[in-house]
Amino acid sequence: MPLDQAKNNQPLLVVAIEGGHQIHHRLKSLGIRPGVLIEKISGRAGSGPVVVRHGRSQTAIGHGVAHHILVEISK
Amino acid sequence: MKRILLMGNPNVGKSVVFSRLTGVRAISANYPGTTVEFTQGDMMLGAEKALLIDVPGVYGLEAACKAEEIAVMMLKEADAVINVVDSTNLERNLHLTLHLLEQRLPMVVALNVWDDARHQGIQIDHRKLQELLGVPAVPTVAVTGEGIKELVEHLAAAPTPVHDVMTEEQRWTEVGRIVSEVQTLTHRHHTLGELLSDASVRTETGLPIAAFMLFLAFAGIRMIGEGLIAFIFDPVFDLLWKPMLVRLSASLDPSGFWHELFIGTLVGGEIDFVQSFGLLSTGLYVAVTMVFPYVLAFYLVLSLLEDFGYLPRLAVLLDTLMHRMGLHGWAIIPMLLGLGCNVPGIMATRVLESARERWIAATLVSIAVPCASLQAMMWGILGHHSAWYVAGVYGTLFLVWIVLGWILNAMLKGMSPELILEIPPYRMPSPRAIGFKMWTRIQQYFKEAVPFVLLGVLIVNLLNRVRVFDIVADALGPVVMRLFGLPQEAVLALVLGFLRKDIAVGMLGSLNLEPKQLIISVTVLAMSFPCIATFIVLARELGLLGLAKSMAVMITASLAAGILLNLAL
Repeated sequence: MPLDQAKNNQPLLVVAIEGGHQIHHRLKSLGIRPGVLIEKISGRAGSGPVVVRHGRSQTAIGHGVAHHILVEISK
Repeated sequence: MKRILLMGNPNVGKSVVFSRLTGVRAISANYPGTTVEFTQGDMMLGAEKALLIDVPGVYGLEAACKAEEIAVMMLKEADAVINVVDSTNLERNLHLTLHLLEQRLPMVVALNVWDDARHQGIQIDHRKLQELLGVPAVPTVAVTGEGIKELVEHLAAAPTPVHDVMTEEQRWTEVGRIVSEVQTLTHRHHTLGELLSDASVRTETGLPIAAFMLFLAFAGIRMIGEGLIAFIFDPVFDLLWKPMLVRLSASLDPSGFWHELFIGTLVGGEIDFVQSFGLLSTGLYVAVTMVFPYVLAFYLVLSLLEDFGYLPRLAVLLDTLMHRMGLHGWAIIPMLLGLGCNVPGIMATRVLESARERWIAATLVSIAVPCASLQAMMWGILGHHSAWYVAGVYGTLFLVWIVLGWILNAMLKGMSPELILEIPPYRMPSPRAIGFKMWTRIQQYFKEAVPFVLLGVLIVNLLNRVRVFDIVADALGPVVMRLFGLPQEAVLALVLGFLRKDIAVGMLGSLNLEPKQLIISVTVLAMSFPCIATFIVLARELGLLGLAKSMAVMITASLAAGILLNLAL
């Protein structure tokens, strides 16, 4: 499911990142790449940015980009 | 002289390390042919003097953005590298470290914010890390200066690493392997800072926190600004500057050209700093005594908010709103800077990615963001009637900011780029870093704004002498009177206000206008032609065509606002 539609406060696994090379690269250099565990701290399904925690970092991601990050709930 | 690069991810305390190594005598410069700014200064490497360059923060060296491109170019001319690493976030930071090792330059690693890492239960075996990386790794706390001396000692004898070039994937795998070997985490509960951090990005809790922070900020700015004026700037001006001006005035013919230019007209036989309107009397007084203390107070508070780490959170909260204006949340930074002085505000639009965004942001700053000088004018004219009138003007400008942004976004082709922004943890600001930042911003104010403000005063005084403004006011008068509902004399004030808001204040104040007329004239003054300094910086940042478009928008918008206010109030 796209990251913007995931629920807050649960561990998520990044499965794939769609979209252009530029966005791909920027997310990757911040440490968000397939196979990484993240947790959504804030953001809602309709609009607005999403904030995720990954490792010791927090990153804010615009809604459009968040829609291109595919995640699944991690068990 | 050896060139040493200071490199690291954004938000790792790089600039604090820089100020520790160089002291205050640093200069900001643009990388040739670009708008990316960097700072450089001299440092001592043993007995030898070396040039230290604070490279813009980057996450990698793939030349994926302007800052990375420049970092790559700078590396080609470098003799050694100091890589500053955030110890609380080893995994992400080491990616750049490995990339730097592949450049085969002598290098040391500063494991910065070492104290925070310990408090957060992160233990790093720095000797092991040093062994794995093949270059010295020194724990540092730049804010207190801990470890800086060792860092320099190691730099003098830094080995050149012999790492092979890796692919991106290999690098991340290697980072994972190193981190698992050197880092142990102790489990712990969320700290107060983290709870606060989460609360300030969630809309429900974040907006009240933002309102509280902004209230605190403005109360602080007003208190510091007024305090500085009353206890330092006014007395100094009165005791030191006034006697010199009185002597100058006595030596000049009071009705002559030079007297009018430098001193202005005497009020009751004396120099009046607010109403004489001379270059050295009112011109200097307004720029230095009325406005500068507020600029100082404003940048102090803003630097505190910045170093505390609050601004990225504000950017997240405002992202949705700013998207309607064709910008993203981070564009709030130029807007905030513009509240101090529009010049640095417009220069800060360089942080935005596309030319479209930069134009929208710069235009909005120059039209709808009142600088300290304009705010002093708003308070000066309306404050003694009622603070509500001042609030009315602020409110109108805020509405203009949103509506105009929305219109520009709808009219211009193109999309607004998306926000991707690291949110650093809350940290106690370092007095040293704050001092350093204030120093560069104050320099900027005196170098880039004050001379042009004085130039504006000069031009106005010269044009006024040949009655240019009366002619313009006569021509525009009837139209403006009908549209804005203002008397003829007020029109002259508005025209003069294009270049000298201080004269406009004096003239409007003496006209006995109704509150409604005052609110309209102040709003139009605030929105219409910016000061010369802003004008020049707009031309520099947007090009002449961009400036012309921006001015067309400005004229339309201030006319529309004046007419609408006249109808609505």
